[in-house]
Amino acid sequence: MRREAQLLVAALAAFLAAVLVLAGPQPLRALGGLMLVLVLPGAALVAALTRRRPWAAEHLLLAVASSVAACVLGGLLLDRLPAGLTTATWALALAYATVATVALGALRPRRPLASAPLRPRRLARPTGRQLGLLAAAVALAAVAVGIARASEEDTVRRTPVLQLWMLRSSSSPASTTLRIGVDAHHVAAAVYRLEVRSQGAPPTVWQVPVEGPTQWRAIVEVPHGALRAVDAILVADDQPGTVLRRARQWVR
Amino acid sequence: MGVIRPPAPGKPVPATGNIATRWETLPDVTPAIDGRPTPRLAADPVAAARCWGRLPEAAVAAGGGLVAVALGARLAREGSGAAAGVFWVGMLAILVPVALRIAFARIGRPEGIGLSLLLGLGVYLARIMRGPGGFLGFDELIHYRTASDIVDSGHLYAANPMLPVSPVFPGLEIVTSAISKTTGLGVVTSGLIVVGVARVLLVVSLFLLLHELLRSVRLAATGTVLYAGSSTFFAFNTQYAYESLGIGFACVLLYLAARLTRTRRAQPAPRPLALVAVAIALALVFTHHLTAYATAGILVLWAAVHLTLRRRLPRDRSPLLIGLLVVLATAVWSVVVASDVFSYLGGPIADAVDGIRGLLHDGGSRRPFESAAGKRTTGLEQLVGTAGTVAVVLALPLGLLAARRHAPRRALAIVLVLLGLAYPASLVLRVADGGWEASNRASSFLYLGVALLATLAVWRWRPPAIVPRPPHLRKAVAAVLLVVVPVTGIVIGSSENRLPRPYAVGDGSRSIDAHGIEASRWMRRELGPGNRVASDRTTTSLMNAYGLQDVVTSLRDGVSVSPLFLSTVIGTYERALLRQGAIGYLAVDRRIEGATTPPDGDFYEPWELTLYPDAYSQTTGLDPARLRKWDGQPGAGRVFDDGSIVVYDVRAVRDAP
Repeated sequence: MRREAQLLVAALAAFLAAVLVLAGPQPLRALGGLMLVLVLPGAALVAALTRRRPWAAEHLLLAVASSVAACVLGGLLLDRLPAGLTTATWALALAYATVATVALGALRPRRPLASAPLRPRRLARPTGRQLGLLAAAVALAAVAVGIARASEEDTVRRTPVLQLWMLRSSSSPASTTLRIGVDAHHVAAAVYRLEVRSQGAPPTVWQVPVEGPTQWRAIVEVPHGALRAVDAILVADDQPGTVLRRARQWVR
Repeated sequence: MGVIRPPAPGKPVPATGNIATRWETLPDVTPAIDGRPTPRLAADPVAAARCWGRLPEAAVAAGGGLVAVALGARLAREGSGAAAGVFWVGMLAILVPVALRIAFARIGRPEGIGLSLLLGLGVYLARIMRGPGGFLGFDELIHYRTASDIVDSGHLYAANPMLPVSPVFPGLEIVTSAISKTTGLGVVTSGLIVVGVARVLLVVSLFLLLHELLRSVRLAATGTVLYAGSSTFFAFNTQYAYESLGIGFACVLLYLAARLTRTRRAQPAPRPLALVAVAIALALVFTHHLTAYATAGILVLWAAVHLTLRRRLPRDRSPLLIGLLVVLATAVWSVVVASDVFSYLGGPIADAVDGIRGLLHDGGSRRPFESAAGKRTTGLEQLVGTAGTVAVVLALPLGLLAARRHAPRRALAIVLVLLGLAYPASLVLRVADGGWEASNRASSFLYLGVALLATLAVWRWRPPAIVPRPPHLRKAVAAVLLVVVPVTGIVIGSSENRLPRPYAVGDGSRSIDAHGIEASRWMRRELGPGNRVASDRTTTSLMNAYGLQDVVTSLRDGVSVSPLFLSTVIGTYERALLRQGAIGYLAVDRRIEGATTPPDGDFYEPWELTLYPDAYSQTTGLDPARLRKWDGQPGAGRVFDDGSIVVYDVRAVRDAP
């Protein structure tokens, strides 16, 4: 492809990628974002600066390296804007940087090619079998990541987390409000009993059913008085003698 | 349509008339095989086979290897003893085909680069099989915090209590933020992509750099694979941390330096490429301090060597100017913005100096292949690790002999040779207390030279005439080294952390589990970010990364938190610590109760046993009463309990008169 055509393609691709980032559906947005951050600014820069096409590997290296470098330097500049580093500022900045580089390349004066001889640049196109094998390799790598991800999630699922918490919410002239919560992650379905006890007051009891991810909340008003502890105790409904979780707040 | 092209000057013209005719009239030729151009026809199966060689087959083997590594990780989570074996089978499936192709076949440039990339990305993917869904390493969690702050706030430089210099070298996190914002992917996925891209930059630029110096695809591919023997290649430089991107930038800069000063007439570098180099140099300065310093040092040394050899500076001085730019920009950035970097680097440097002193006095007390807690790697791994290291060290003088004959007298090659010769000295640091860190970090750079010298030793060293030379011996030796040296890098660089393992207290990434992560998320959700929290080493990392809390550390705050957990009483001293550190919450991991000396060496701070010598030992567990003392403290609210982690609100205790 001629250099001018490369520059034009880079500019159009940057525009399209920015549109995808700002308004595209998810798989296309991800593709557009990756191209905009990792490839297009650098590809435009290399095409604008070099008169002869380098090796494919060198082209790839310089395009990606200068894209990433441009991203770092661009981030430092975007930080100075009030809006900062947002989706819109990134998309616009990277797209405009690409287009500006293209314009710069187009404006550079033409000169005859260097005296060095032309070298072959293009790669042989892989055969169907080779492409099939490469696709199989990518598929195997994806399967491997899938296996690792699934086993990691299995491990998380095998770690039940049952949280009891009690926080001071607000205080009025007459009472203190406490927020109590029970959060469960990967806990087997069960019913728990939550008791809140305060010195000199009858306990308040709730039944807390847990089935799947749970976020159970309650509010307790504690009248003002002498400094005393308010205890929240979580037990399994079928094993009331075993305290599973315990929280405490000091109120006055 | 064919265009008649003259053969390149200095390139051999094919001998036979027929081929010569084809060469001159073909529209395209494949890239060189060992420097010799070969004809090809586009979409020609023969040409395609020549161009790509057995790369597709090697890629399939590597894919199968990755599946084995993933299965090994699954077995490791289940505590199976077969996990390590399955892991190594997978790694060998990645390494062996690459080694065999490079050693025994005539590979073209695309296949050479492809095999190098296959190894680099294969090793990277094998590394992340340990936990692809989240960051597990101590450094990774720190940089995850910085990246999360940037993504959430849209601005840079938010304080990171665990590593104050991280926000002022934000290159890695800026790119992560850009990917996350533009693609809609999460911070972890975006971070994994950035490190993968950094790995591509490292491997491709290293291949091109070695090809630039050695003018051979086979030698360049050999050197790239041998670089995997660096102790940082498998584990350290694949983690989500700023050096992973920094080393990629550094290698691209060194390649551009070599390219810009190319002396051959063929394919001179386009001068404007210096602009690309400037952009990368500046990005490096804003990405990682040590890598920037080292790269600047190498470029300045390169100019000095050039001056010594040729009695003049190189004709194209842009690499020297870029080196000076890196020096200047780094100095300005470090003084004006990142002044914390000097105190941050001072600690490890002092440790290394102390280690060297100790080494000179008592011979060093650290034993190779042994973790801080005294756990040793398996005998077979020790054997392979030792064999690989010895082989590499023995290859250095042979490589030096070969370099005198065969390496180009280019200043950058000489600089790399000097780096390689410094490698054995860095190995000595590994047995010094406090020296391991410096030795490990230096390996990223020194191994550039090691790879060059070992490659020359393998392919260019000529043994004395009296030594028998069986056919294919050199290739067989090369194949063995191309497997053993990367395996050595994995063994000495990753210790026992290459596979996931069941939860354990005080054992680095092994101590990260759902309890700590969910407790940190609870803090952020219910109490908001930025609370002053003190905790043990692991929970502090998680509270910093996932909870976005303002964790208390001795590094930044100068407050020792271990007395708050290990003292037996809550007295004046402990209250003073709460006030001094403005500590609002204590997160206590109850699983530490009864634990003996952990693999990390300590639970809270390295000096905790100096303060409380009887708190725990190798044989005596930690008394639970030390951690439970806050339960009975009036005013200390026990605001959170998940059965493992308890959070106390100690603001009332702190503020009490």
